[in-house]
Amino acid sequence: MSTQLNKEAVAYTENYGTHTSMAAADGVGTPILEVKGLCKNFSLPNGGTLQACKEVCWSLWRGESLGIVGESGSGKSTLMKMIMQMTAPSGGEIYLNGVEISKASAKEKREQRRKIQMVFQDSSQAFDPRMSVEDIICEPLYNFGLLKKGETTAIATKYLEMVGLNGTFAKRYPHEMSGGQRQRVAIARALVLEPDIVVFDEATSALDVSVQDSIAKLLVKLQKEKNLTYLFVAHDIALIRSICHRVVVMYNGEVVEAISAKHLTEAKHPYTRKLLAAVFEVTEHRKPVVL
Amino acid sequence: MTREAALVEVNNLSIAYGEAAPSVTDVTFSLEEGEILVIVGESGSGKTTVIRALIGLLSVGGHVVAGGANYRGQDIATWSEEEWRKYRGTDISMIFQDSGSAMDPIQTIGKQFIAHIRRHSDLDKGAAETKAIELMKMVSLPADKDFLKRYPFELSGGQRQRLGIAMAMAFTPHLLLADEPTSALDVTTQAQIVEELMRLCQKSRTGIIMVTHNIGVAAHMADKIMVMQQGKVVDYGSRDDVLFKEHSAYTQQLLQAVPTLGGTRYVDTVE
Repeated sequence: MSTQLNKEAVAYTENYGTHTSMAAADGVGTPILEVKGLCKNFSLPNGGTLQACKEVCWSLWRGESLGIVGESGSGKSTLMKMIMQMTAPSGGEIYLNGVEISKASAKEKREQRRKIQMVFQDSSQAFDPRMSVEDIICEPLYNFGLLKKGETTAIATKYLEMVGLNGTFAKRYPHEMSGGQRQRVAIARALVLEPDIVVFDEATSALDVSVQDSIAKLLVKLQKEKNLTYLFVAHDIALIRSICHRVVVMYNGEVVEAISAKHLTEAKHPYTRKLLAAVFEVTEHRKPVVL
Repeated sequence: MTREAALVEVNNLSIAYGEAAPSVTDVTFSLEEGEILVIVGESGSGKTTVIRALIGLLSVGGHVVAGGANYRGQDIATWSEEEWRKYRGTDISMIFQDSGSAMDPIQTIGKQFIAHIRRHSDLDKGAAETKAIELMKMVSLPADKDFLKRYPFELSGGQRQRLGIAMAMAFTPHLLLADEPTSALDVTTQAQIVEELMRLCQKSRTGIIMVTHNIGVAAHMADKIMVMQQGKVVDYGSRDDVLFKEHSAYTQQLLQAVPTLGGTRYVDTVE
């Protein structure tokens, strides 16, 4: 076992895989991202405490994609917010390239943000409606003082082509694109700072299935070309199985099972089994839904 | 001897918004009592337009430009507003993707549910409340008066959908129209609601026309499937025929795009 997990998850964890068995992984050494005993508590108006994340542990190696699956209230979004440093953990540590980041100063945090970028579910809300696509893509560079005058169009074109869009999209505005095209622009924007890790929070769940399919293929292709590291948060366990190396299942703030995506259908935890049973497959004979 | 009319018969229906070219062209299908037809398609395919036409609630500017629809042998185009009011909510009812947004946020669900029952019947307040509680029990909601005192925002997404179904089923409609009723739900809740709808339909012989983008849900529920693309029907027939016998290239593409637990993993295959 290459990764610390909490007790219950360990009991249900077989075939999780090690980083050395990862096809695309760098090999041995320090994980690129590691969370150890991460907790987040929220105070409730009635004086009680809501434990949104309880002792969450896992590691992520370069070139790997880790899927976090869970339903509403499972704590997956809170976990992402802590990793993105949008909210402070109540306990535990987050290591980026072996360095503890959760207690960094504001200036250090800003530098670290360069290394983790995020793609959201609805880019139409994440983009400034009055900015052109080229400005949207290059804004992160500008924010970090990395954009030279007159470079914008050339850089935007390079990244647009990388995500399968024509360079002419550079002059468009968010409302002049389809949802799938906007998600491609969001991916281009996330990649422009050459981050270590890209976090996808339900990034394809609002899209039509055929569009989702083409974006899933694009992400896997980009990962292989650039040795990118992905963290996917999604409720669609079948999609996660298709695009991830390893899967962490969360329920009620806890990691209940961690498993290699290849062996996902052999998962043992009752909640993971329930998630698997809830997938409607197109099969000749209708399977009864057992819940 | 005359054949008994089908529950719904739609013939060469075309619908346009304003002066624009029709967004739905030449749609033909039929539905018997107790049957489930699932309309599958991606955004812009016209699937929602078709079911909105069947309850006389097309969005602003929408109108039938050709063809028409019969409900139990009656041409719905001839119905007056008054007749529509008679059918809507009792004989033909509808559930939406988020039933919560169809409710008043500042009134309790009990008040709204009782008002809905009384609008369509001559039950008094007490009897309407009893009926509401019975209906909530039917869809596995907490069947007590305290639950009725809650506001829509105090319900989970799954509870709101169950409530929407309970309200839609209040008068045992002959026809239930459902527009993506499970798409905003968690997967396990989706599975429960799908089962709930199938059970209710079987019990009361209600015909269901459901719109979804989830071809897996369609395969599980449907007796008949209609696949739409850009306002046109590309496949229509029995579930088995459409999914497993003959279908268009577009349906094939949709089937391949759905991630499945037994399908190829892109991490292994994409170069």
